[in-house]
Amino acid sequence: MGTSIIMRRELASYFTTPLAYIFIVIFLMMSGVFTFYLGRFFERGQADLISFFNFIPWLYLILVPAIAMRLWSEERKSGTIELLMTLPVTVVQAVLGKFLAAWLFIGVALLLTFPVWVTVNYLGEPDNGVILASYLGSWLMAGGFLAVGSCVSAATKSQVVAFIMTLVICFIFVAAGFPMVQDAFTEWAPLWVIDGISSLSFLTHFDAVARGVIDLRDLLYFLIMTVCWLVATTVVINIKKAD
Amino acid sequence: MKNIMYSKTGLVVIFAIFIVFSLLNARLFNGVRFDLTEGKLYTLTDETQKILQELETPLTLKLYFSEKATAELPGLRTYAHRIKELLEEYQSLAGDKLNISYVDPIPFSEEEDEASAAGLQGVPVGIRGDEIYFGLVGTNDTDSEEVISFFQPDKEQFVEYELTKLIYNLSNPELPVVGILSGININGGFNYMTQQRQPAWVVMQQMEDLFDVRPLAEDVDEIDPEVDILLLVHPKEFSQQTLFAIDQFVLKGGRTLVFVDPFAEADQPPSPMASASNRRSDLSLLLNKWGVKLQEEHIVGDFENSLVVNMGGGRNPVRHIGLLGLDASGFNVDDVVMAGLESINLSSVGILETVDGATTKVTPLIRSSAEAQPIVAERLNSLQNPEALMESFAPTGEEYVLAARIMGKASSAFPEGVEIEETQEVAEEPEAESAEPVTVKRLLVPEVVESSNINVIVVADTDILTDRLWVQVQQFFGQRVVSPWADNAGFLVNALDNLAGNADLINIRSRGRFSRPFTKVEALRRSAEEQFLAQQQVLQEQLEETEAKLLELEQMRGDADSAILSEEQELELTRFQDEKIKIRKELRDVQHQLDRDIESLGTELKMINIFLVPLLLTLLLVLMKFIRRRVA
Repeated sequence: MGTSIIMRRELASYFTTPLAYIFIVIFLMMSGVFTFYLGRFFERGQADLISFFNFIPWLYLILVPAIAMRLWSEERKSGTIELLMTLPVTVVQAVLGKFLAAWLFIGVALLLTFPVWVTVNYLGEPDNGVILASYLGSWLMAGGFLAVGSCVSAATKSQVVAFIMTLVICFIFVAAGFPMVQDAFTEWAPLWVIDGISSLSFLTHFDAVARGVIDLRDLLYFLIMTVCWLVATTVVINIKKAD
Repeated sequence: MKNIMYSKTGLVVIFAIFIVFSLLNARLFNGVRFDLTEGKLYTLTDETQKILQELETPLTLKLYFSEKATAELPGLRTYAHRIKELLEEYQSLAGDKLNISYVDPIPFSEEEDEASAAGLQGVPVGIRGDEIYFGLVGTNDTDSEEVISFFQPDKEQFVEYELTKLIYNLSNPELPVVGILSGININGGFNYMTQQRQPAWVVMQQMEDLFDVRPLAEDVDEIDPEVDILLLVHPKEFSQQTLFAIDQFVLKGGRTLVFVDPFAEADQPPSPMASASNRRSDLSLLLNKWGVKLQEEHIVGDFENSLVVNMGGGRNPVRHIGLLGLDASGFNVDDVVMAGLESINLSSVGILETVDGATTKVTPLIRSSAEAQPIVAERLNSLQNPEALMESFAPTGEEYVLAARIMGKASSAFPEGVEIEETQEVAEEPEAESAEPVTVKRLLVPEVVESSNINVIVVADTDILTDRLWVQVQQFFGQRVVSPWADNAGFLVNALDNLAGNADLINIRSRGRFSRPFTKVEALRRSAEEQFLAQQQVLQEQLEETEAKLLELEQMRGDADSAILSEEQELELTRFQDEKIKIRKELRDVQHQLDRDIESLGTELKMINIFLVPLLLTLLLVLMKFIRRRVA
């Protein structure tokens, strides 16, 4: 109950300021530019959305921390967090409510990329099952990014610090699947460590889902990622409250 | 517990839980997944499941993968991981009938020797050039061996087929026998024109993987009874005896696959001046009895399915309406032979027609588009520029049958038998002074005059089997690697599989490549081309006319003194020259126009995708502000 109240309050607050619109507009335009110019969507001539989804993790890297940074930092800085804590909601409910609101908001932004889906269906006959899975994977990945951002935001009063810290941590989780990161470990680390590092990467799991197969392991990865960081958020808020 | 949630230790615990869960997750929850892809690309097909469940004898599969040496190749490692998962899925379906083990062939180890002895391919990587292995060796209880020498990541979509085929071959060591009678050198041979030995066509190799392929001797009374499927390629000048043998084979229920052609390009006549009829297959006697007829004088010109050919030498690519690239829209996808095939290329294809009063059922397998017209085959003989075929091309609106399946009741072409002449050594009289062979006549009497159910597939093209239409052959680390770019061999093998009565493998094979081109753009390109081709022709004619007139004027000037050229003539000359420049420019414009439509579509879509929704959102925001202000 408390969760849904917080969620609705937060979600409504997104749409009362033009900031949210600006955010969505930037997200849509950047995804369009990336897809069509860097991803050469039209020139590739293939009816799939690989050009679009390839850039999604990188877009998130900038935009999700921007949403997440205000989740708690702002409340702490302005002192409204004390007010929030006097309301009849638990910390867990507040954390969950704020997270869900932000997550839904990103979901809306993601849904508004529908013209690219219409486009690809107009141009050819894409595998819409794969596209659906990719969208789902994107949204799950956004949840992971957001949970990290939530925790970092709870730990600091400065939105800028929250933004940068979130970006750095998320970048590490994205880059873990990269060949150059793997290379750094190949010389000395045992294989299970290397495979373990790669299995911690957002990219590894997102790519797996974006093939069109929803594997329980990939779902669980995003779930574990999100839940652990949200629990950590609760702990951080509790610690700060005790201070 | 409560304390942990309020302390920094709590954070450490959460972090530890996160790491442990993430690592265990990869190992614990295996194989539960929802495949959302259209062709269920990542789910084992029913056919694979059936083959696995019907395994009778135990099989052993050994996957060789160089774990250590591939540490720097994450892409390959991921793929190897996927193969392992796939094998585990096989294992779970086959139970204890399948023993799977994984081996890491470390350089200079016994395992490496084993791998290379089994025929696995070692690929050198890295600075030290260590060889990596990534292949599979399967053995059955009689020690027959089947090998996948290297899993190439770019052939991922065929991997289930490769694996299932390997398992199928191991569990059914006896392959169906395909007997081949061919009027062209499908099996390679010596080319007298180039004075070089030629390798067998790649389709032969593809067939040999799956069938026991045997070239048959001509001039025998009977097709070898061990033959399960008879493959006839470009039957030409077959003797009466051979035709009789084929006739009887078919009527006795032997399955037959026939490739005939009104103009077989691979059949190189001794003289380049020979007429087109020299390259024509001839099986009309039998085909008529089976209920079909090959239009002998004509090939199909098909604009919609035509391919663009590169002319080389800096010339523009041109459309060749005799060279066809068909996609599933021309296939009878209800027939299992065509299921899942994506593209087949054909060249100078003939037309099949049902004979009046045929007692068989003729089902088309491949059809042309409606934008087609029969073209006299003789024109191909002296064809310099494929564009010339477009002259006088007028589509009839009819879809022509290019391949068909024939089933049902048919009768013999030799009901009275056939009299043949044979040369015989006279062996009865050892003392005879001359051991010279003598010619004797013999009557072959048919065993079967009528059959209630023959089973034949006829294809009106033989070029479909030639390498140039569907495959690229390369040397890769000393091995011959074939990369198909069309499903021609898939079609052949499907047809043979189906005729052999072993259709299980078909659905797996035909998962095919997953190219999904922009159909819209292609249609646009075609219609633009059609539109402008006519325009171009008109302009070209005008240009030629003008040039002729110019030449005329120039000559007039050459005859007399140039100064004498009248003012009127002078004017005319300038006018023609201007005209020529203008027409040339128009011609260039026409060519540019071809790409312009497509480019502008691209630009439009870019703009819509980048700006449309942001614009609408902005409008919405402004509108909401306005309304709110009004309300306030």
